[in-house]
Amino acid sequence: MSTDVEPRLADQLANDDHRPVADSVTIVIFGGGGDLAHRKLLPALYNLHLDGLLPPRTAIVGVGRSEMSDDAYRDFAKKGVTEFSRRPIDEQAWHSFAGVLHFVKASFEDAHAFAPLGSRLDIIEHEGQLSGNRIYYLAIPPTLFAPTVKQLDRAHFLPGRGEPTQAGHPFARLIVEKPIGRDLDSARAINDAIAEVFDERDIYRIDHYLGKETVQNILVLRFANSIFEPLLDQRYVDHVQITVAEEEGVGTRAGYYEQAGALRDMVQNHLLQLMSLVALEPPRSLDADVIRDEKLEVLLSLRPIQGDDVDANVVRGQYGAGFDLGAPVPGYRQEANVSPQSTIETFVAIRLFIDNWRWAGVPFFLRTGKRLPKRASEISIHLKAVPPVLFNKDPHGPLDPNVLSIRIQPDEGFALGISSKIPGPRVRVYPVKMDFHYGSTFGRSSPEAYERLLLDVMAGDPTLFMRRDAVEAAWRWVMPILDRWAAAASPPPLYAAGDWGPEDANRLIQSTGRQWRQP
Amino acid sequence: MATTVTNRVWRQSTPDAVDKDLAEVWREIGEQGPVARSVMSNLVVFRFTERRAADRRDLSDPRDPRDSRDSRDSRDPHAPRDPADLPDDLLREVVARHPSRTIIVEQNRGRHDEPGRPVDARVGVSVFGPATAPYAVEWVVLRSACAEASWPSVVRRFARGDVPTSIWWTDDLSNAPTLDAIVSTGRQLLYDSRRWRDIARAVGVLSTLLDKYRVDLADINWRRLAPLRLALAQASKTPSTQRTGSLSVRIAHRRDELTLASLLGGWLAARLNCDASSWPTLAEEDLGPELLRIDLAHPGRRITARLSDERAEVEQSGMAPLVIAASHEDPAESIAVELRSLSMDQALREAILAIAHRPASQQ
Repeated sequence: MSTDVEPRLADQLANDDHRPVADSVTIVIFGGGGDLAHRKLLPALYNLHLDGLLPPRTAIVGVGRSEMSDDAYRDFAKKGVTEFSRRPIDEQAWHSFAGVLHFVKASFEDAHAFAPLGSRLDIIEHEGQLSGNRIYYLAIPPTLFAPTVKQLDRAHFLPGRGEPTQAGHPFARLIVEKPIGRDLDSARAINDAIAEVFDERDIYRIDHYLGKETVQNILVLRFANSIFEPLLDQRYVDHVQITVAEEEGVGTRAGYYEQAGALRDMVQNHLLQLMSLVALEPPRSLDADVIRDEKLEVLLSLRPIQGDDVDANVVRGQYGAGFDLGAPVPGYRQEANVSPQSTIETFVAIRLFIDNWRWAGVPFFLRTGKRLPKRASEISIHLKAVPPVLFNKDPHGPLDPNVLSIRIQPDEGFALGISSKIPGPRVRVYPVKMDFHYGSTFGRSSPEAYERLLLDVMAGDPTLFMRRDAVEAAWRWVMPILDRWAAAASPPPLYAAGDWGPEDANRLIQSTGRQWRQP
Repeated sequence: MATTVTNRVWRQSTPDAVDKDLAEVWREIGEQGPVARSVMSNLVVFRFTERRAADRRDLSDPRDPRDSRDSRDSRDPHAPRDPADLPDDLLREVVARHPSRTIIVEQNRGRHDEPGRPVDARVGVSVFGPATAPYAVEWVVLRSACAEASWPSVVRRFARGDVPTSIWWTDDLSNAPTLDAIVSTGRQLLYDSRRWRDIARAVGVLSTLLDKYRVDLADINWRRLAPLRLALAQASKTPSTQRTGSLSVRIAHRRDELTLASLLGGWLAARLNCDASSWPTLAEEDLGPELLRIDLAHPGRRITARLSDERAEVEQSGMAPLVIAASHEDPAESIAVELRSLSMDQALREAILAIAHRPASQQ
């Protein structure tokens, strides 16, 4: 006989590796027929399904402007999974996954369009015995964020809005893709519009970089090992470099990129988020808001770069013609849909300082760009050199300082460079590495960032998502740089495609006696 | 000592998918048990495939039985070889001793007028070492027919920036195009001067590079002079060899050792500040088992030095002979030692520059 105090069978059988998520959920993807859904979201959801991590009763509803039947949407999804999933398609698993896929045509600004959408969702949830938990994913341009959210509210898609979330009541969560605005004012406007409808705790601003396994490992590396954390401060660290390099050109994104550029597209979000994780103080717990408070503290401690300081500490560039893996490629201004007079930067390098006790005086060098030699993201923490005596006394051949490098992509892992004696009668030193590599150590592919992040939303864990105050703090810090460039008469200097950015970027770091570490 | 490959996985790839496929290969290796990925440097091997490429044994051939056998006996380490014959078992032995991310560019000579992408790629991982402490290295093999201008972007794409990059030029440097672009991507240029068919031209290529870049030269052939240079240096410390007057240096060499003799001549000329009248003269002779014989004379003094595969020996009047044994490294060990030596070889640099700027009467 079952009693209330007896554990439920489901709890007894629960896999400890699986995180508790709701028993049922409806995931509504606005822009469900778009590129992001095709390449990332649907493959991520398929992989969660393969791993048994989706709730037992799940519905996935794509919403888009085009006409598409459920079957056509399933074909669309299957193509995306076949091409972009980290694991090959399993026909049996696919069959069960395809059954939860649906598509509804709707115009996001049209109030009347949301009524049939609501009816269809109700039917899907009724037939699937779903409890009404909903996740709304805005995979649409930022200009549509506010109207879409407003329609959700008007069409009564948010049951119990304004009431405290209680156990047993269905939830409604919102996932927002970057960019959150193109400057501080527009970011505030978007956040205000969303805040009129959703509580901050139900808003998940996604930065897919934060879902990568190695990025999550930064906190483990720092706070689960006694060897590193004591060294990570101004007494021992000489400088920190963060490089996010892309080998591709602007491709099909010219329309967006011409309005954005590298500072808005990469630095304001990805790079500052990575920097925050490297630099934050030990949080008192792993609660989402505790960690996000510490990240915010880092952003608020950034020394402003304003006026003439922009020219001294920030370098921009734009790729010209060059080579990509041996083949000639055009410059940015020769790309399709790019103005021949474009002054948009495709490369940024920044020297910044965090004015707090831990990092006082330690320069952080951030660098990102398109058409660089390779796709690679890496954080490297360069420790101070040993004194120029003993093994380091040769001024012509100084020892390589110790470097702790964290590789985010393509091959996730981290390494510690140390100096070692070469066997033999003479004392000669060679830089060797202690190298950890996810693939060769754990032998399985890491989940894609979107898998982890979608799972977090289902579990109601916002740790890896950006909070409003952090987004606006980041915008506040980059605005003087954008303003300076907007007022500048000269275009960004060119660098050859396939090179590591303009020569000014080398001068930026070499003027401090350091040099870029190439990932 | 040959090193046994205990496991390996190879995969056909494309130039765009190298990193992705390599990650898959590592996962496949990792699924069979943890293995340490070992990367002390990038080793970029340029080799040329205009002929006899089909004869070269394939690193990825699973039927290749040579992985677990000693490869030292298979060929004469000192015999000049066609570049296309650079043996893959030698490469394996080198990376087993100096674990590297090994990027092999198989350049189709004669078809490199236009810039372009590599036409083909393979990736692989080889596991070495005992079962209790296996270590593995990764390979990227690219087939290319592109112009030299394309090479830097290819090397930069695949080389890891957190370790030194060595360029191993397996071909005859006197037959090389301008190497500026490719040398600018590495810290060390490794070559074997025994391949040189035109010493003056090869030295010209190198001296141009030395003028422009801070590149560490590593010459496998030059290593063979080490015991002789040490013996001559030791002998010169005795009072009887302090130079007091005019100097004559004669280097006799075996027929196939002209390059070695030239390098020694360059080094002596640089160190002894030789001018046109005292520049070392080279002469081919039948020396039996010896490779070189050096007669160095100035008023009242005479030094005779000999170099063989076994030893270097220096004799001078009134002194007991000084003998220094040649190290018996196998070819792979010689190369691995050079790859580990990242400092500038000042003596080699001086020798190259001396040959490049030798008096017109000596050219």
